Amino acid sequence: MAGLNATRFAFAARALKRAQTRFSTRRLATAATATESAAAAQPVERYDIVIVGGGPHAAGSRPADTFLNRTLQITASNKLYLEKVGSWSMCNTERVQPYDRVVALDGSGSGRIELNTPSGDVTAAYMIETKNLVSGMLKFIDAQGANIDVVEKAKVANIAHEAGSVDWPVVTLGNKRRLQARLLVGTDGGNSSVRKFADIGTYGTDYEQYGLIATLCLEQLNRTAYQRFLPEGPVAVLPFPNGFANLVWSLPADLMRALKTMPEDAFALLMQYLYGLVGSGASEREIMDETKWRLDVFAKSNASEENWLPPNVAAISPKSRMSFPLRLRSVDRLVGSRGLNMGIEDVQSLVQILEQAALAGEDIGTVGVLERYNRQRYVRNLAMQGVVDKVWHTFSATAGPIVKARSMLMNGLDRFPAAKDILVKNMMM
Amino acid sequence: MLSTIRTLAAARRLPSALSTRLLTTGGGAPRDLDTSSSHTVSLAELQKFTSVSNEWWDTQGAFKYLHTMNRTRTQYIRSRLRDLHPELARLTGRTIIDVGCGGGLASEALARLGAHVTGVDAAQENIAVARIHAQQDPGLAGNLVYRQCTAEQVVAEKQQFDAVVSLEVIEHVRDPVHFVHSLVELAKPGAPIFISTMNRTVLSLLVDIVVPEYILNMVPRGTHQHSKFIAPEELTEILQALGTRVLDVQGLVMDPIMNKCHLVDRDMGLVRNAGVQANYIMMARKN
Repeated sequence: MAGLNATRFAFAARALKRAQTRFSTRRLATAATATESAAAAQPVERYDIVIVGGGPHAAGSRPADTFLNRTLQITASNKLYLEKVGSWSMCNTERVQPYDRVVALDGSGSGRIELNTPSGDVTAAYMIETKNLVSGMLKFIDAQGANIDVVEKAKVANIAHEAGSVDWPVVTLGNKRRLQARLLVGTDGGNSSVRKFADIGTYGTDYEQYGLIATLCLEQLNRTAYQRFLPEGPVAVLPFPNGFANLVWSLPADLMRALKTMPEDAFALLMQYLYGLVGSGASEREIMDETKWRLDVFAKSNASEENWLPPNVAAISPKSRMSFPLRLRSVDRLVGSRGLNMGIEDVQSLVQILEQAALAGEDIGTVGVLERYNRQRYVRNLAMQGVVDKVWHTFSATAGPIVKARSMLMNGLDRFPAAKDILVKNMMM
Repeated sequence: MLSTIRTLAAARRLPSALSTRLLTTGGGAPRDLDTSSSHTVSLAELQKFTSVSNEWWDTQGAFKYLHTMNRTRTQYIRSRLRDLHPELARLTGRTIIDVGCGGGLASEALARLGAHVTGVDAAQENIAVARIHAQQDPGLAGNLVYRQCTAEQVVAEKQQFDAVVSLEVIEHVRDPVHFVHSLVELAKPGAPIFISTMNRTVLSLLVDIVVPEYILNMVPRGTHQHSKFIAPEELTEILQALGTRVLDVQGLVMDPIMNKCHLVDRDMGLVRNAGVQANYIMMARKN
């Protein structure tokens, strides 16, 4: 990074939701008509790179007795990259759960597949709380010294070109601070203010799904990730240390509301037969009976590493349920992928291109430089979008032949270790 | 062959002839001077570039491969300067003159690496284009000065620099020996001089003239004259005769498909000069 030594970075925190942004803009406009000269008097601060959306605010104490519900699965190669950069070791690694076994079940059919890493000692992925990773990164940035400024608790009020100035965009924050960027990077999510400023459109299927997340307390220690493709959307139980697990469930709006508002103990019970009864149309009585029977069976079993089903759910961490809309849309040019792991690959690609450009004395804000990034990433992101779409449509199908074919495919794949290894390698990439 | 002999002969008898010439062109504000009367810039050459000067910064236009090559040239200059001064993380504070800066491709890049760059070019249009473009990057302010003048005019002002750079220029000047002499004069004692140009070979005729000017029609016809190209041995001899030591020469090989430019060793494998059959960059150090 020698060539970027003099490069100054600024992180502005995640942009506000649309309504709030509009409100801020309007207030700003009002202020501008009242005291136009005062608004213009705020001098611009020039940066080589401004990143809008530096991730969630990471301060505050972390609960010691449970795990936070907002989590990330980091692939092995991305963990290596974060280690190389130096930010991984700044995280609390005791709260990270490596896992090397994934069991995927099909929802309404009977297909199942077990994925192990090719050699036993390799880790497929790491479960980490988002806050843990972000605070590790912020610690790392702190240790880097003067060239990076972190602007916390900031809203983006407006992004615009400034008349009579250089052709660099000016990011105006809620507190009227104005940052002018040679290169503006938007990592501010589906409703990105940077994307709108750059007039980049979106395309793709709007799945109208919601994500429901929660922290589960299991009855046994667990190192396996379980995923079940239900017609309503995939549900995953992902391992954490000390018998905790992270639930990530993609749902349509009505189901999400019901699951989010039901009492926590009832929700914990529901989780126990999630892998058996959801979608079966069973009555509440049947579900309760089934649940009690399962509690018995699971109490006697302790061979969790061989199980096709996750360990019993003892409880749900208080107030750990949370939901958010899933916006699975892609953008039409010059931008990154969705999902953290593809995002880390985007970052690696962009950093490498910017570093080479900086060492050659190029202006890193020019289209000529950024086109190289686009060439490297666009095709892969497009391919990923296609895969997500196909998985989505396959698993949301309930028509008999498709369900049958899906089960056969999953069971068939499970019997071909070579094919599975290829799948696992691709997942780890 | 004839031009080689003439060039080398000129190199040997140059110093005394040159000193009188410099005395006669010295003095006066650079802008008032009639550039066409300069010894090393021919009027025809000047007009040729003026017509395309607006295209300097179009990375897909006539200068597409020059932009690509500029990245590699800059990285080469940067790493060689770091070889000489390992203590410098960047080029901060080093003064560099870019002789024949054109639209400012190399000048801007070197200024961005931290050097104090003076870009000089005899063509008014080039300097205008370079100045306008530099305003688009406020980071360059204070690190980059452009002057419309010739190398001799700067020599006459007795200015010297920590490094002298002249890229893809010498093949356009009327008297290359006199030109190199000016470059050497501009260097402080011990300072490096970087010259990039084209070898006079069958390959350079193809890749530097026939393909870009007559087949791809990317570069205006007549931009280059093959007879003015200079072989690395000739340039080495001129530089050594003028009181410098040639430290390195490497080939600049374009890959038009991936739009990349590679540095290659002068002798690739067992084949002597195989790497410098067309474009090359040479580094010399003033004694």
